[in-house]
Amino acid sequence: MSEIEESFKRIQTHKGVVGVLIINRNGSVIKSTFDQETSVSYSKMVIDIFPKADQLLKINSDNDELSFFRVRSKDNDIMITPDKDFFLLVVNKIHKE
Amino acid sequence: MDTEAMKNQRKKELEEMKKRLAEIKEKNKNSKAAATTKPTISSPSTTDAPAGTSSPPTTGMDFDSFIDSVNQIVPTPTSPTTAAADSTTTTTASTTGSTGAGGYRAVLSIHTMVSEIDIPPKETIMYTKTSQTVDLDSAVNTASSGTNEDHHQTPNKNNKNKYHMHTLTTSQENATSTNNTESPPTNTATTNTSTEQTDDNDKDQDDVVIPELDDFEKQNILDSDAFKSFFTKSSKVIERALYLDDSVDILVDYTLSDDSKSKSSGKELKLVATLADERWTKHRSVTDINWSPKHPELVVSSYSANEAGSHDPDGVVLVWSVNNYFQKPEYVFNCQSPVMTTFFSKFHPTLIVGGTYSGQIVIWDTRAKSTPVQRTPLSSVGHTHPVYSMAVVGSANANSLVSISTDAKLCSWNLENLLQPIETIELNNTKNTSSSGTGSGTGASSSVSGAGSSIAVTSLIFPENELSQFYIGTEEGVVCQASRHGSKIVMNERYKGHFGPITSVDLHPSKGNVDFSQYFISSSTDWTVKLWSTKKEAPIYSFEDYVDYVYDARWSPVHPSVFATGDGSGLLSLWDLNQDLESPIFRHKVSQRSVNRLSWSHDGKKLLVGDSGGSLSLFDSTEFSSPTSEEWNQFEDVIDKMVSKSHSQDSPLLGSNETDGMANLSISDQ
Repeated sequence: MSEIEESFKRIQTHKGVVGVLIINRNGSVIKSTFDQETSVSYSKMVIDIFPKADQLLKINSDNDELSFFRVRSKDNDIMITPDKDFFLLVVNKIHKE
Repeated sequence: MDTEAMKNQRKKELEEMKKRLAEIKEKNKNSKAAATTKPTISSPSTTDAPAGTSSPPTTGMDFDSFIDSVNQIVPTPTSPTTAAADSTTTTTASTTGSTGAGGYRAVLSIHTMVSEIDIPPKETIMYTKTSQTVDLDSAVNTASSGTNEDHHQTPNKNNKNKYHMHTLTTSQENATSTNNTESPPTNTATTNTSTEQTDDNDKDQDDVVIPELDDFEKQNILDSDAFKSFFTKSSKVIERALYLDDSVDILVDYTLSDDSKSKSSGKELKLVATLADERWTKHRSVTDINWSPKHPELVVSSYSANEAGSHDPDGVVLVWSVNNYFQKPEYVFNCQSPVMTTFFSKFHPTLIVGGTYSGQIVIWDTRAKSTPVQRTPLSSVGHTHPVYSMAVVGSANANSLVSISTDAKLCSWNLENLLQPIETIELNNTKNTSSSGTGSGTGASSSVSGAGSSIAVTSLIFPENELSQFYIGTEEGVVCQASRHGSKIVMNERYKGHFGPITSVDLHPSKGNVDFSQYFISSSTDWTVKLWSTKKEAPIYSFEDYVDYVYDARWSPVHPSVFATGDGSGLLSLWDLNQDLESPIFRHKVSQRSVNRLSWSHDGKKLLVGDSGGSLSLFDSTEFSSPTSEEWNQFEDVIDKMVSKSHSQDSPLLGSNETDGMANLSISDQ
């Protein structure tokens, strides 16, 4: 447990990270650094977009599984690692030196 | 504007058409029965499309007249046209979901057009029609102008498809903009489906009820094993991605700005990161570093016991990833005794082998827990002195682990079974003689030069692809070349020149157009690093620019004339023999304490330096990783010069054989 807390904190405090969110397959928020409203809106989007991304990947290889999912703009970056039951989402603001 | 005009025109035409229809109806009423089959097939299908629609009753009336008209003209070539056009347009009209009045008007206009224009069907027209059906009015026009009975079904289908797609996009638009407006009651089937889809989308967007968990449920999930394993896995992935972002900008645009990035002129190593861990490396010193043969970014390092004392085990081996400088090692492995040497097994990328101070050899598996999966017995069967050096030799199918210890024993092990060595051989100092395992025990002799005394080996190195021939560095300050023949070990050459215990031996990696594989360097506590040829017993050159013990010296794996050393004063020194023989070309104070171990990555682009403060310093050595082919020839010249010099002058530092022997004697006398 403490190790999870530690990793969570480390990711959260990494330079540029705006927030971290963990949800389960139904979209229920398990752990979040965002407020409830933001968390839920992220959660809804993830739930919505994940099956599509998965299908996109499956066009080419049927039995492949989506394991990392990233949306990136010039300054913003959202990373999602989906699993069988959970999603870990990190919102990252790209910092420029 | 156009449409208005067209509508007016159509109205006129319509009236004409009605008249004509009435005429034809009356004339050919009797031919109805014969021709019903086809039109009825087509017309139900069209009525199916808008199934259960609220299309105005007028449409139904129209149908009657259509059928009638079709029936009467069946024998003539124009009749199919009419039928097809009629039915399709009905579909379009009804499916477009325009208001009832509009639909009605459209339908009527078709009749006019059909009857007026009598164009033989063309295949291509079908495409035009389908592509234009989106636009109601033009669709009606083109539809009326073409198609025959054969194509009747297909265009119809196309129509539907087209519409389906169209409605899909509109529905999505609706969904994204605002809540879809209430569909008008006059809407037909397709629009109904469109609203259904809109509803679906709405659900996705807004109406999905996300179950909320209370604190207790959340805690339950957080404590579950499934969650833990998920989080351990994915947090690593995320962190890698995060750290990768720091070092690599995937969106870098080289067409922009050119002001930054001025390259520093002087060649040097750049300190990139320091790998250390509060719990596992503090108060410990680095004893060994080795890169993974499979994953170029993975590195394994071993540490001595905690000087400050702790409840953690004495033996610590950490696996680091240098791509993303985690503040945390990827894996932590433990054992009871301090680990003196460690590496990834060449043929088993998940296995990590460690040699401990107690003489025990342990194997960890990255797939298993932090405790060893295998260990050798702590008895005289194995080693009883610290294991400072080991090597895996052989091929992927037949390999063994060779370990050597200061108890003068060489053991071969099967990596699958460490319970008992495959063979044990006593090392003996006598040149060209050997004794097999059982006899002399571990007799640690104080006399160095006496024949028959055993050798305390501090470093062992096998040339690449070599099974029996190897080089050892000893506590006595002698480097030996030895070969195994069955259960015997024959000492072939003894390279004398160092006045203190050898701390490292490294063979030239030699992967270029000139073969330097006969050259090797050794470091010693006598404050020197020496360059040797395997064909000469005396050193070729001695590098003396040190004021402390030299703990390690390693050739660059890619650059022929470059090697790096670490010494007791905490200095990392980089020598380029093509540039300077007297002093290193680059020096960096890595630590307040001593630098214990160095390790180049396989591509020569990274150099890891381990110190006795427990930190690994990662240096970027990219500037030394791409030597030109000239460097090889140049180095050949340098070596030739050194060899001829060492012949001509009997420098006491380089040592001829005689002075060397004297020195050895004097040491042993003390």
